[in-house]
Amino acid sequence: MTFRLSGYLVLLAWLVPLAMFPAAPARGEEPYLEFVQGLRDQQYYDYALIYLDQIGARSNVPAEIKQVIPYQKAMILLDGSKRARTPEKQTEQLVQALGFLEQFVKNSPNHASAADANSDRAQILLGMGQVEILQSRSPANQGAKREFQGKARDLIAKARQVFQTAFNQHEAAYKKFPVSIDEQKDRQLFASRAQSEVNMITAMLNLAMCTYHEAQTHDTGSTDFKQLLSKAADEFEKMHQRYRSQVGGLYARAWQGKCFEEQNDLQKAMGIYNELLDHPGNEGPLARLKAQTLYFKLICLNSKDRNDNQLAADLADEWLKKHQSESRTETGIGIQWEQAKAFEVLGDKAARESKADAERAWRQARTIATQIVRFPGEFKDASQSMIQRLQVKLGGKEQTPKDFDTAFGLGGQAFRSAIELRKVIDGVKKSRDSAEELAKFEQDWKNEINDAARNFELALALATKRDSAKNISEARLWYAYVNYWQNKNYEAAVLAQYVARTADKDNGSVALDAAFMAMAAFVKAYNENKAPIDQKAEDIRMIIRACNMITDRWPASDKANDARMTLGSIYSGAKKPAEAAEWFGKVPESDPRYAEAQASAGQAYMNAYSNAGRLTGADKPSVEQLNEWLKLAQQHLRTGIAKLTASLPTEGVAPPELVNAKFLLATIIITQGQETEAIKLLLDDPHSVIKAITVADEAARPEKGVTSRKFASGVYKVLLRAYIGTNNLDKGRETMKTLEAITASGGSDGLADVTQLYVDLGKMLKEELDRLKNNGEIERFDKLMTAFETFLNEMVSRKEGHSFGSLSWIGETYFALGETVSSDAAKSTAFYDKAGTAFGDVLTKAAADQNFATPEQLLGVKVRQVRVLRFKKEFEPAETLMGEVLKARPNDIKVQFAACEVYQDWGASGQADSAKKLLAAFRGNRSLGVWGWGEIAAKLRKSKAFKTDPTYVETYLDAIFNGTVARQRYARDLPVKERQKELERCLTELTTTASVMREMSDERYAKFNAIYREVLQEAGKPVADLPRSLNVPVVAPEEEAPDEKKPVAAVVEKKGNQKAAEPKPEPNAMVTIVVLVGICVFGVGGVGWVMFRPKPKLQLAASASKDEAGPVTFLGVGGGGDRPATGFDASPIATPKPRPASVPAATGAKPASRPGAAGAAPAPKSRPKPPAAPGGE
Amino acid sequence: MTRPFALLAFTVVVTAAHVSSLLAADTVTRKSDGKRFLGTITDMSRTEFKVKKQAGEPDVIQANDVTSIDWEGAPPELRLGVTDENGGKYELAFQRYEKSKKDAKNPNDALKTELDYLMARAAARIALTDPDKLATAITGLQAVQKAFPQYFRYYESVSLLGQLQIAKGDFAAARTSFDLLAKAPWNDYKLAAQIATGTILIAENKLDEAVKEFEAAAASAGDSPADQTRKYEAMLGQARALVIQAKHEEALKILETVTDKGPVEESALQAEAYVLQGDALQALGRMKEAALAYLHVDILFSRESTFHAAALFHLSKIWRLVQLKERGDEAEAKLVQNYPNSPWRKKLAAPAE
Repeated sequence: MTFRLSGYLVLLAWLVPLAMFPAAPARGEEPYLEFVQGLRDQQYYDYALIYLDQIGARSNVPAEIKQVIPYQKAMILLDGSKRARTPEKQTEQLVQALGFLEQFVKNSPNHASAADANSDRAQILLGMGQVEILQSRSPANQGAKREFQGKARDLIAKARQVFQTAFNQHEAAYKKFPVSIDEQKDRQLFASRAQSEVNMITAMLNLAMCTYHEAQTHDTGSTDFKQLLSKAADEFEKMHQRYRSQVGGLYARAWQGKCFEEQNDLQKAMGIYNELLDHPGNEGPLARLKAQTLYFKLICLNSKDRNDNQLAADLADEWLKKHQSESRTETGIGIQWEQAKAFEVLGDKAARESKADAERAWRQARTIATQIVRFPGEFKDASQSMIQRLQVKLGGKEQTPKDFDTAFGLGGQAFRSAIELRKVIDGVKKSRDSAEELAKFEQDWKNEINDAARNFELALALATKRDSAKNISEARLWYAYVNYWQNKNYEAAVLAQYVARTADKDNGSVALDAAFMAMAAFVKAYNENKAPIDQKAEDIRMIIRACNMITDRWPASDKANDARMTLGSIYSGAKKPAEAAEWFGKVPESDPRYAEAQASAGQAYMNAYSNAGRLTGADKPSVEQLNEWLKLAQQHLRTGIAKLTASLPTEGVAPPELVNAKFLLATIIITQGQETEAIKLLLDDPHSVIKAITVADEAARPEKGVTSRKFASGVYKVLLRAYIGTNNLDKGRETMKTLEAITASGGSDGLADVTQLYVDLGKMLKEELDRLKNNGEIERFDKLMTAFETFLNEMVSRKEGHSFGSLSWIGETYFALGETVSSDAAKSTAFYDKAGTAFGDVLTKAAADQNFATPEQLLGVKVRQVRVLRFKKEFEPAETLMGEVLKARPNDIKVQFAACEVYQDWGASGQADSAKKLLAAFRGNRSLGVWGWGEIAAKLRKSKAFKTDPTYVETYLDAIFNGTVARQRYARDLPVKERQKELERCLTELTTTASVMREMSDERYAKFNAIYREVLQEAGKPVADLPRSLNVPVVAPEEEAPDEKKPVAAVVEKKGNQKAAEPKPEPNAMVTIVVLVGICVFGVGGVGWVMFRPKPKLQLAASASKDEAGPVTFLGVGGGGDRPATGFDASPIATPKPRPASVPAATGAKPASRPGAAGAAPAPKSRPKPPAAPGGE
Repeated sequence: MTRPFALLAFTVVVTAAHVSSLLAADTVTRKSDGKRFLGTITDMSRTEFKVKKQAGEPDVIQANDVTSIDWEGAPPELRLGVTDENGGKYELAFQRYEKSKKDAKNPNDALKTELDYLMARAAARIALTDPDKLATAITGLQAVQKAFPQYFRYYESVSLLGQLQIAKGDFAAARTSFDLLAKAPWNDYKLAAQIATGTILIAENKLDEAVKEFEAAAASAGDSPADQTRKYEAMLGQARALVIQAKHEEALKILETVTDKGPVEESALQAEAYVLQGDALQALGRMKEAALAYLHVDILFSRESTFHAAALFHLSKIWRLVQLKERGDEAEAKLVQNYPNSPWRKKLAAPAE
């Protein structure tokens, strides 16, 4: 029997916050408990215990941290015990946890968490009591039943006593709070009182649960049993009356229902369950409560008195469909068990009238029971019995085969039936016959698939050398198809790859079909993986390998072209545009997707060219290579455009793929000084790009496609750039107005977007200049620089008619030019001055005219003005201006970042008080409301969105990095001892972050590693790489002398891949660590992305919920630099769908269905060939 | 002594005197060409035996070239036992052999010897997954070798004995066994002895020497299928040593060759290659690829129980790391259900253990 803490403990999860202790480290200190929490989150319980032992032995660890070490250990052991698989180990860990809890309560009786510790102690005791109850019910222990019941009662009594103490403590704490607290005025106090109330409710619920469990220590139906259940029901009722608006009160209500159900008062129980299930809200603790309540309800429905098995089966099915990932939880398995019971009874009922219906239901029951039996727990034995019972009911034909041929035959039969059923289902769907009929067929299909899976699995297990190798190969391939249909993509891929590798060459196209199935399965797995693209490198590698197998072994097949298209898409997504282009370019002219492939190849080459500007050292391609890419890009795009144009009538709107290809080509040729041709390409008929993107109503642009706002604005940006190049001021201004109109009509935040538009325009111009400079294309650089300057100067000289937008653009663009020539101090200062003047004009005009700009826009301008001042090293006015912005936007991360950047640059400038400024950078400046890097990081880490929004993580890592750099510089001017201390803190910060943030990108790691090595050197330590990922740092004892040759961060276990340090970051590592991936010339790649990618799930404007400590926002007043960094999200690759019927491939001159915009993966169109029907058909 | 082994020892002694005259009508399938020989097995030695037909010269079969023998008069359980053993169900196979021995009606001495060897072999394979049974299995094998030293399965049993001795940590004894194995007249057996020496060196943590030993074995393999199999076994050994030395990339290259080009029918070889591949990938932080490597064992080579248990253990951990918790739960449940006594199942027990 497995020792299980009661299922009701799950409910406590809503009540017990993750970290109840000194949550945030004092600013600038080692984040001890954060690190422990990180290790717990990763389930590194053993390392967490080691770490706690280590910090316990250190004398410099604050007393309040040391005080909670026993409690932390207990929590870790409790977590660990839930994962323990042997009852002995589980009990051992729980007993250890109990010991630590007692130690904590004894040593710190007045600690704020003493009451929680008591609650935990009591829960352990109660859990142990439950084990005794289960033992007392085991048929094997009938002789010792009373003894087990007695032990259970004793343990529950002890638990009650401790719960009572906890309750008293929580109640006393709660009563100390004032009755009335204004949430707005005293947010902190309000939150503390709410937490205290939750603790009190928990304790009260626990006391009632003791009564319920005490009832279970008596025989069912006995007087004691009934009396105690009645008492428990009353206690739950009182709780519910008092706390009906709290989740705790609702849990009490559910358990009240359970008490009624166990007293056979099903009507009352059902009433309560229905009431709870109808309760509004389906998230977090409420979702868990509802799952448990549903389980209770299913028990009622399946009871002999209710006998409503169909409803039970349907409700369970509905829940399981919605909560697949929870199907293995204790409640999930309980729900499945009730569903299996319901199906068995339904089969029994149907047996009198329809044998087919009966068998369908029994088979469903058996499938579910077969799932349940794989998991230890209270339903395992019952499921085993059910399976045996059902085997008998299903009769001889369901007997388990004993050899390969029989199992293969049965599997093939079920597989064939499934294929036929799928055809029937498709037919029924088309004819829109009754839903009931359809559901029956769907269920039959599932049953056949399950049977096929079971029999193929068995066949392969029974296969011997005497069996036909051909049949074994086919069994594996068909089993792969079954797995694919069951969404077991990796299993499908493993089987299919094996067949592809080992199938006899004479065995028809089995090997090629299998290889294609493997590719399809990997693509499906990739698409189903919801992780960010940078965490999908392995999925990508697997697809690449699968595709390569096809292109290597069957280069002339159609499937090889599918693989080439897939590879092209994959390499595009993996930021390897040169490889992508190569694969697209390999699709032969005979293939129907040739034009699409050519356009995609062109775009990929262009991306390769654009990205080259960011590469350094050996990775940086030569100028010849760059020119070659640009030439190839043009060549492929021109071919694609020509092919597409030739296939279309001259009238009518151009298809999106052609529009995109033309747009891309225009983007390339403007960088070569061919602005006039670019303008023609965009404007002229046939298939005018501008016409294709024009809409009647600007406000009604769709989210995706060539008429989307993003794409249209991208096209106009290119057009604007072309007009700047031809020095056509009038057309340029006209285009700007159109651009502004497109952007501003984008809903409520249109005005803010206009600000962003000009920021982006400035940035893009800078990128183009940077790229030319980095690529060594000096002539083009000079020419473009002159063109921009001339255009800007002329714009400025026309004093009249300037809008907020045009001045913003002027300011941003001058600023960008200043950054571009930063190596020339005089020139860059001149540009910054001009930028400052433009921003100053905005503020002046706004002061005179309230309608000139919104307050939000003005804040953005102020932040940009701060940046100008910072770049001009005029730090004092920058600080003053920043103070104004902070008053208006104290919780805006972008603004906080900008403030820290001012201090960090100030500190590094060598001006007076630089140490103080560096200190302010990482510790903040309270008087102005500047948090400092440390607090920014802490707030981000604690925000709810941290676990779901990669932007938060990236920004957090930036803050950690910048904070470490600031501290490192601050340390340099300190006396030896203090310096050493600060450097140690830097090291701890870096190792802790690298260990906990396991998904840190390679690029990011390289930066962290470089600074880590630098700090080690400055601390006089042996230089080593930063331990990464699974490596858990062991903190060196503080008494270790700085000149000792031991590394500060040793490694407990060398598992990870420790990469060599990348080139060090710029010594003056400013904050801008942003890579806007996918943006190439004038954001063309970005536009492509936006056009075809799914709607971003993670919004930047995510504000923390009110119960978070220190909510942070990314409201982004614009211009605060590039915060936060946005990664790029990949479009899913169209998954080839294996079907049991041939699907005619698209042929003819049909235009490609969608353009191959950067990162928008062109889909492999064809599908894996259907398997030959088993059984020789 | 546990019951099966006590029984085994007893039968060994009783039948020891009757091995010399082996006569029955049997069918032998030859490994090298799949050809079948019908007749009576005679002139048994540890290196070869003859199949005497009704007319003509008897066929000589090398002891290392036998796929299977269908013994005249053998009970049907025997065949089922062999299937079970090939399927990794060693306990069941042992029971079937034991039952065959009881059920056989008037078995000739050859069949009795065969059953004794098979029981000892099954017991040895059980012990390789259950360290508590090692000593008894060693005794059983030694007993059967002593009783029937001139039997075609002799060298095979010597190899198995060496493996048990390695598992027990008795490297000196294992070296003696493999020295004996090296005296077999076939190159693949000599290679097997050399590979085993490499394995012992690994166990003794002499990793560089082990790598050299494996390299030498792989280099001296001939072109025969048996030699080729040994070559891949040697490569596998080399990869094993490299993984221990944390030379994961090097190991992966070798393992890729083993999985791509190694004999597909050698399921133990393939299974171990995939487990090692998973280990190396895991160490490199390539978790999903590691999961895929282990999944090969779960799906394709689940009959290789030792490696299957290892693969399930790793899968139970890795699926969780790649955010597929329910799959981790499933792998764990499978491990608990299928291998309740495996060391891997015990390793599961608790994170803080």
